[in-house]
Amino acid sequence: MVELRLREVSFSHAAGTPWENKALDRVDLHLASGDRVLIVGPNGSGKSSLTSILAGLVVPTHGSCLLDGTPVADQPDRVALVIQNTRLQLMRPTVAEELSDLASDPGRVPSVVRRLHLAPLLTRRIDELSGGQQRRVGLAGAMARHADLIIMDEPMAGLDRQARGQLLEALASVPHESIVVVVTHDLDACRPILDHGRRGRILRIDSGRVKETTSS
Amino acid sequence: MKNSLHLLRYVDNDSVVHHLNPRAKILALVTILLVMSFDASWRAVAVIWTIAVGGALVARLPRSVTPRPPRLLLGAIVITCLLGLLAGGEPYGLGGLILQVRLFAFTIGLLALSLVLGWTTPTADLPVAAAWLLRPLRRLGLNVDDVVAGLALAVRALPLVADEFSTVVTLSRFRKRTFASPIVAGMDLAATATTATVRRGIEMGEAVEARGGSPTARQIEQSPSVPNRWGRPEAVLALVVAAAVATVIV
Repeated sequence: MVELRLREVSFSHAAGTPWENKALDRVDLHLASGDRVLIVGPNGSGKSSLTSILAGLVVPTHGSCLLDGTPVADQPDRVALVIQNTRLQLMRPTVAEELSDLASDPGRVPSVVRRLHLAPLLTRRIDELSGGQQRRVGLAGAMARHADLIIMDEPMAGLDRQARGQLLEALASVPHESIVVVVTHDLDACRPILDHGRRGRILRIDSGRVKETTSS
Repeated sequence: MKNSLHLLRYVDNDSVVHHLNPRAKILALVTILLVMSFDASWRAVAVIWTIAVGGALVARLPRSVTPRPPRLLLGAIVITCLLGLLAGGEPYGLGGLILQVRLFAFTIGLLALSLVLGWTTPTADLPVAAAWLLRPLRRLGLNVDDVVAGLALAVRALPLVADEFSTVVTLSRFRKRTFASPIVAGMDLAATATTATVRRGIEMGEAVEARGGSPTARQIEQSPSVPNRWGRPEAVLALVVAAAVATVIV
């Protein structure tokens, strides 16, 4: 059972400098294995900052973000983040090399490839992939790493209907024991993700505060 | 994020340094850079630091703008100074070390001067000032329009490229660490950063084409939002620069 808990999390960009900008204000959140969470909100509401904190890329200015009682920033092996511009994080020349480089256990790669229907792409060069294919490879990398917390930032942005369908199918194959957090502007396109886990939740964030929690 | 280096980020203050004509500020900076580079003496170091610290005080820049040097840079400085110490030299076998310290003080002083300019001048004003500064080079046959357009785009693209590079560096923490991984990661980061930079360049080029090409240096220089005023503050700055140059040369 994986448990992610945010307590009174506040975050300011460039804290202590003239450019200080408060992005999050006392956010409390409790997620557990099987949760599928959509985070929605307008531009500048604090979504990106919350994503960075959940991924352990930045440490809260105040409060704590704990994964099973330990700061998430100290456990990079348990967290995976797939960013909108996925090309930036795919660093090996081909899909097969990327997955084998990321896998915690090389034996996991074939099952991930099978579940995400990536076999035809394995020998392809990363540069030749479409945006949707790159995001599927990013997600496959997260699954190959056996991450307990998978975060996707704007996964549907710029994808056509077919690519969105393939990505939703891929997200449905993420193991139930993982927590999946999706940050999006497009709630309707991502709503099917809520049905993939044990519990679906929609968090609306505005002006750095989580305003509303909807469970399904 | 505290104390990371904030390049080309304007600190919004109401001071005489902020209100100086950006053309005067960039001319002063270039003059000091050129003159001091011919003689990186202790006197030049003192002059540069006096102007940088004095400018920061007059501009009422808070101490919190001061960046904390990266550990890698501090390590490189220490190693270089140790090598200088091993080199020996007069006086008392410290000649090499003293030379290294002087060069670091000189280089970091010039960087501090540039940072003061960046913190007191809106980013959009810099290409305007550069276009004005480069205007005389047109007579030498230099394509000033292209240079200024490139500079304007570079200033605009820098935060985007820096942001992408920062993303790549940050995400590399999710990768497996092996004995060779720092070297491989470094190569990967360099390749990815190059790709990101080239892509940004192409996107910006296409955006410029879509709006009918880049403006000429003359058009950039005559931006109505950057008034071309020359008054007493600019005269005082000219006197400061003249005094600095005289101190080093004489």
